[in-house]
Amino acid sequence: MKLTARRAFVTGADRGLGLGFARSLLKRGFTVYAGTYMDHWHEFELLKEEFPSGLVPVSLDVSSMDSVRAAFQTTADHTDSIDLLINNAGILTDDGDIRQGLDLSKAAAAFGVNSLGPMRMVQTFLPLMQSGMKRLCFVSSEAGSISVCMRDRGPFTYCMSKTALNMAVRMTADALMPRGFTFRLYHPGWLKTWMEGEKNLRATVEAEDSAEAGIDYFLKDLDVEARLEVVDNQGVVWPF
Amino acid sequence: MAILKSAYIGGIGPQALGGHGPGLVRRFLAEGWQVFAGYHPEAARDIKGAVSAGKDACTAFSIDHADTGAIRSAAAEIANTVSALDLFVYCCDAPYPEPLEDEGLWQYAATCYDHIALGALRSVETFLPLLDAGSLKRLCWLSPGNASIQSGLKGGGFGQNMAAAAVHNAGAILFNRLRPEGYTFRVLFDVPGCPAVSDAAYGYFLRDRSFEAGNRLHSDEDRFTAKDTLGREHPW
Repeated sequence: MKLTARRAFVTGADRGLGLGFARSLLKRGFTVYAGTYMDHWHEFELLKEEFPSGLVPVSLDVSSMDSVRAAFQTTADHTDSIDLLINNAGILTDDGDIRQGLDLSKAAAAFGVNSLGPMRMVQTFLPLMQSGMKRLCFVSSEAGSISVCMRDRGPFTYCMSKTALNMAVRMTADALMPRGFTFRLYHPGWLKTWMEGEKNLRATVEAEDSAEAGIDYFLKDLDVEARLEVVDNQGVVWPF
Repeated sequence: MAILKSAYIGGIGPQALGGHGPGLVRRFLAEGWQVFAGYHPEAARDIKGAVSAGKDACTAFSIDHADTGAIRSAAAEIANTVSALDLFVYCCDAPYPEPLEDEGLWQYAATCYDHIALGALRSVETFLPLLDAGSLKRLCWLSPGNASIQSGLKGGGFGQNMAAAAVHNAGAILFNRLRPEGYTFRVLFDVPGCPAVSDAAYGYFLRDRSFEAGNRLHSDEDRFTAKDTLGREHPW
């Protein structure tokens, strides 16, 4: 039976910010298709137990077109329509210092996941988004802002991948805004996430708190939808 | 004419795809510079004329900018000729034509990113020792104006625009890292409709911005900015 409630797809929903997005949406009555990269994550299992009918795990590697297509098929088997697509999956890189020697071995992976992953998702999932909210959301970062770049030692390729994402979103918005799609670019703050392999306790923002703020932003209709901007977890607009 | 200074101009793509590298090489040669040109293989025909015009003052390398080893080989060869480079220019040119079918679009974007964005980074890293010994210590990018996210200029391909925008952020990080060491930076946007890109680029890349009008309170060299061929500043 096809579901009729409001529906969202969240990539990178295994843990951290993505898990927070999923939880926040479930609490608001959404059915959440949760793109998961890992086979098992304890907190995700707990969320499944808490929302057994509303949370639909979908195996997903956004760096692979085949995986994205398979995720689309799985989702399309459940529902005719997605209201909200949240592109959250991302990886962090550490390439070193230009004076000490750069290690660019993870640069392609960062671009493939952080920049192209969301584009693969949008391209593939558009057929499910021809009605409803038609809202495309992207987790960007202040790291992608050139105007307020404060870093002097990178990570080059993480920052570059987020700038490339912003550029791709702008071009996508140029193409899809006339068809009624709306866009959100979100900087979640400095998160206590697991992107570096272990939980970053030096950071300042809990993922759950940023996720709540993010979902508020994603769901809110704006007075001016034609303007693309990066908004952070405190509602501050960041320049590109 | 005596050789004045030496420049490395890399990332040169085919003129048919909007690349201004060959024109820039010709312009530097006409002003008496010694030019080392790193071009994508597809630009071989375009660069050939510039090389023959420059005679001994121009050495061109067909470089796979996705290959650090290829860039290092070119740098080693250049180091056998000169002990220093005064100017580094990277052209954010498309390496080859964008595929027409959707299937290849993201692969092409990845290739553009590797050649343009990472290629620029690899090149800066590789040429830094020669630039450290140079007199200008200046890093320049000739970039498509369509790659300004904020200005919203239409046009250009996904791959080239994403890669060029990424280069701008890399440039900002490099600015923060190398400006304290005395390096200066130039980004020139090739904005559709603005003429004489190579001439404008040559002029802007060599101009001292320290005392430009309107910058009396600070040196304009201490800002990482993008300008077009008409001298207008553009947002990122």
